[in-house]
Amino acid sequence: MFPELISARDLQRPIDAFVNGLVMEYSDVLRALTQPLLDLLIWADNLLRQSPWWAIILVVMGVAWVASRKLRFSVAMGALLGALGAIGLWEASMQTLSLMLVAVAFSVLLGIPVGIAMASFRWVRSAMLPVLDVMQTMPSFVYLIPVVMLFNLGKLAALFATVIYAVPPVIRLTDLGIRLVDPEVLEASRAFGASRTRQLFGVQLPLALPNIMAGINQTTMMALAMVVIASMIGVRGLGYEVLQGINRLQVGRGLLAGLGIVVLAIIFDRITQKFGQRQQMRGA
Amino acid sequence: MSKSNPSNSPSRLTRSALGLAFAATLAGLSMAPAAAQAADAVQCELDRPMRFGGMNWESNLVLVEVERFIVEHGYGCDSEVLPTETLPALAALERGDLDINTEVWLNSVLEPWNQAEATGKVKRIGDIYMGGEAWFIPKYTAERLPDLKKAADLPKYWEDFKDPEMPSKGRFYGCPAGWGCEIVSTNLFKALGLGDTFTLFSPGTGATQKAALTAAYNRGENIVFYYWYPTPVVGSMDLVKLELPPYDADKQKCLTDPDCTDPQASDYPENPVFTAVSAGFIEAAPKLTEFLSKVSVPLDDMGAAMAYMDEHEAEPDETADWFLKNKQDVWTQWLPADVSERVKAAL
Repeated sequence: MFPELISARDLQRPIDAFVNGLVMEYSDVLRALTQPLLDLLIWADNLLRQSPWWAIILVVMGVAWVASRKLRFSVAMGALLGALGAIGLWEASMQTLSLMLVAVAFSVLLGIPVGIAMASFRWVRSAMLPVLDVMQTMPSFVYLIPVVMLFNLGKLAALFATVIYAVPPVIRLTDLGIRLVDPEVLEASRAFGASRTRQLFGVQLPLALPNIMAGINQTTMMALAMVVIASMIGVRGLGYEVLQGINRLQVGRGLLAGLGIVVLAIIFDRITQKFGQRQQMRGA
Repeated sequence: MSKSNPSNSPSRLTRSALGLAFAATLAGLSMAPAAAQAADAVQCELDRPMRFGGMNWESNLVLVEVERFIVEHGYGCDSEVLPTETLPALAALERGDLDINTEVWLNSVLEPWNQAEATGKVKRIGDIYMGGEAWFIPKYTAERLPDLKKAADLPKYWEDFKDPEMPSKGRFYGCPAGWGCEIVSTNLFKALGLGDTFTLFSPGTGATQKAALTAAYNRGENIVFYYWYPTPVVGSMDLVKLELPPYDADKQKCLTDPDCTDPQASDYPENPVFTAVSAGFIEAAPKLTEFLSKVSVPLDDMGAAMAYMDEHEAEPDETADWFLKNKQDVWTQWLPADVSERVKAAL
């Protein structure tokens, strides 16, 4: 036995007290501040669920075409999405999709600047790396319970959970992509008198784009992996179907909804990959 | 499992022969040491650790620890807890992967339970207590809305329970996803015609449900929710039950059916909470079965244990320890005198 230097309870108590204090004092402020975010989530949810199904399939096919310029690919993506509707998961898929889109958008908006900062300043890098490790490995329920207490159950708490879990890949790969840019290319641009901003946006980011796209791709995959956790904090959608299936021992229901998540993942994955490939071709 | 256990072999002759040999060995062993030590060395009826289903709600966690303590110190058996949920636990009990499921809430698993019992592989022994379910509002909400007494009156008050994700409706906190109570909550919600003014919000899991309710209660928010008792939530909060139309067996039957076409409101019946064991266990361990079938706890005493647990943030085994020390009059009734002496000595 390891000698007890500090009793575990003495460590736990102040944390509990801190969280309770936070809930009592700051819940209202935080909820008011995040109201626009919640409105955005509700808006996205309503938009996807109230649009006719064919319109959404057409939009996805359109995006797939823009990404690949291949008709066959775009039809295949549309058919996959249609298959979700055919097995009775349309509504659940749309609820999941809306949360995923918002979560991925936030992750990218947050992740790329942080990645750039990490590549530019060594101290940011050494500070961020352990933070990223925590985000990727800390079991989500550990921070979800306080988040639920602060923000109530629902979409907002799910958004936080998803972003925390899904943002690290885009940060890491943005950082990596920029650091991998050939120093000689950078030097050449400097020799031509490019400012720091010009170097970043004209040279570093375009050259790092394939890596950044790979990061975004991984981020979407990880965001989808979180849908079951999201359903545990009261978000309807595919994860909720899975959870209900598991808890009622209805293997079929769980499996179909699980396959639904896989199908969404494949659509996300293929489309973002195609974007990445085209960027690479243009770069080459 | 049964093959490795000598007391299970079919012939009475072999059994008694084995018993004799066993007794002789014991007698030989206990010849030298003092009598007290012989009493300590109680031989467990099982030749393997006893396997408890560890369903994750508090009353079950505590009761399992109480029973484990008694089984270990009173009957000399090792035990282990396998974390699980009700339905998987029921399936494991049928297969014989679990020996005992301390708390089965009958109404929550009525259909699966009846099916499992019909196979003859699981047996209901001992009623632990009458649990119950209800729709609650906190006392402060009841004081703010003095005319809200019945669940059927909720539509008039939807604005007081506004759902942040759907501001045109109130939010009713239902039962976690996939739990048996979710079906009843959903049907009752339909029967009371709350769909136009309320959303039936599913908390996803028991843990997040508790977190959300506790936070709302501490902040003095108006909430209306489904919960069951005895639990720390109901034990530690000051709550008022909303009235539901009187209990009616036929209506209730339809309410528990996911395909119920025309649900009619009816109050929740009392929910017997009982212990279930596998048939193999009964055969292998008659004495343990006898003890377990006597386990029953008055609701007040269970409530006190739950409140202790919540107040002191006690672990289940600490709460069990508190229960064993402070509620001797309850648990000594479950045991023969010699066993309870041994348990008392171990405390």
